[in-house]
Amino acid sequence: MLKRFISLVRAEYMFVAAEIIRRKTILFALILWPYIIMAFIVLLGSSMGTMSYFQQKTGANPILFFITGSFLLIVSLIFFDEISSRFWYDEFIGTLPYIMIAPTSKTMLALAMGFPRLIINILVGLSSLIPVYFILKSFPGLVEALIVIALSIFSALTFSTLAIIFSSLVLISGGGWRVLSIIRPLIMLISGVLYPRFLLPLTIKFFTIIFPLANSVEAIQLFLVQEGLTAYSLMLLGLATALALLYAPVSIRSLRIWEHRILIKGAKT
Amino acid sequence: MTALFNRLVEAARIAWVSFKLYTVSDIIRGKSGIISLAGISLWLILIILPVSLFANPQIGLGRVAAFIFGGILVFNVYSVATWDWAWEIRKLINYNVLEHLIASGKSPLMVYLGLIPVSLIWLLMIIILGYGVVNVFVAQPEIVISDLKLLILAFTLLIIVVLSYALVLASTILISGTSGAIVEIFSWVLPLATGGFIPLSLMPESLRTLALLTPFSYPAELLRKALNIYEPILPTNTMFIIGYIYGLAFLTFSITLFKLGIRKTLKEGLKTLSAW
Repeated sequence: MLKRFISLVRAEYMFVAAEIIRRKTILFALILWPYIIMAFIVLLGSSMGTMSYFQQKTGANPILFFITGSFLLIVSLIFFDEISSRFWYDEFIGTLPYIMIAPTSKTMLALAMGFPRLIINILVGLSSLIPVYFILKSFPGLVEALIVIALSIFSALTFSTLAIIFSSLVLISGGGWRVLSIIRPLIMLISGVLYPRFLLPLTIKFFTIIFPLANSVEAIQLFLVQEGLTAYSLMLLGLATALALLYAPVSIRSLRIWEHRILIKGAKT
Repeated sequence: MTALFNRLVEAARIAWVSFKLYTVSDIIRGKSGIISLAGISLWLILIILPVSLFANPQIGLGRVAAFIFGGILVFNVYSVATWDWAWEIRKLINYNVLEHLIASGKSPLMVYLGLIPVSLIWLLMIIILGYGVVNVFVAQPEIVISDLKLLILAFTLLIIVVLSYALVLASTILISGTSGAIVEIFSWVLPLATGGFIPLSLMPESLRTLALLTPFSYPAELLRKALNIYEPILPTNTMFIIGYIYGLAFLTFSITLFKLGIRKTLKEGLKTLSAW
């Protein structure tokens, strides 16, 4: 089974790598994206105040906070984006029936989809976090950047099971980009990647506890402020792992429901 | 004279038909309206919340809200230009409509006469929504329409400039095949670098000079003046005259470029376009 999964990941990786090599604008956009988001928010925010006000309120350097946040945005949503948009796109271009009749498990395929982009996005971390951390913090910044990249990957992996549930919801609803355009910003808002969770209203904050991404993102943001992992941060990472495991059976079941519906109703083209 | 009149009547007929078709497909039949608006409001909240963390506590929240609202207004006008107008060419190509339009002997630009009013209705809805979101999450924006005539003229100039920008993007799509990545990056960088969000007087000197070299900065500054959000960097009259001369020159350039794109298409045929 593991061998089969690895061969699926390899096939997906070849597909994604070929696409990126063929369309270099994707690579260009990927590298530039964290910088654009960071510059966008920092410049806009600075025009109505100063960076020190931000630092007073959050305890973090805004440039580090938003370069990390925008990198986290890209990495964390990998599984959700890939699974919901790929199967939907296959339906749109008429290749979904071929995927459905293939003997490969759709759950395994869905899991395999996220890994190639996750690997590629590590490079995005190297091109965005490392230069910024190094400029602002010198050599200790390099180590911190590597730890943040590792935590971000952990964050994406622990979110993957809930991401599959969300993706299944998008696919089952048949709403395509309309549902995506609601769920995507909602995930970002609840996870706290651009706005720290501790500043959210109490009711929303309470709701985010069951959200693995929100817990791991808070651990990363605390790491930025405290420059180390505290017992509380480790507890958050542990909670994210436990929630990921808890959602695993539900995610497999939700994807199977979608698969079953497609088999009964047929894929629309 | 009669020929000119007939051409005008024909243009009006195409504009009316396009308007009816886009209204039915985008606003009436498309069930996506409410979902799209909900999505947009979530995106706005996502950007507004972190930006508000920079706010100087001594500046009133109403002023901060006015700043944010001004940014939302300009950003959405740019978004409409990018995703409604420039991107429409990609749709027209992929659905084989452009070929039919060219074969009918009509200018593809005629479609825009019908599309622009539909986009403006959307824009109005998004701006009202944006005002509501800022009101709930920050404060009531301190906006006063200081000069209605200036507001109308500034908004018209903004539409001329972004329409020209959309035509340049559309021409690029026609000439080179599409590149969604570059279009997307442009849609974020351009309003930021050219003073769409931030008053020029608050921008760094080098960026301010760069912004003044583009036609985008003038309508944004005039709009902020008309809404009493911020004073423009140059006297209003100077901004107004330079803005309109620059805007109309940009429009002429973009129409010429678009025609070149169409001519190239007639020689080489249409490319199959991918979003990315």
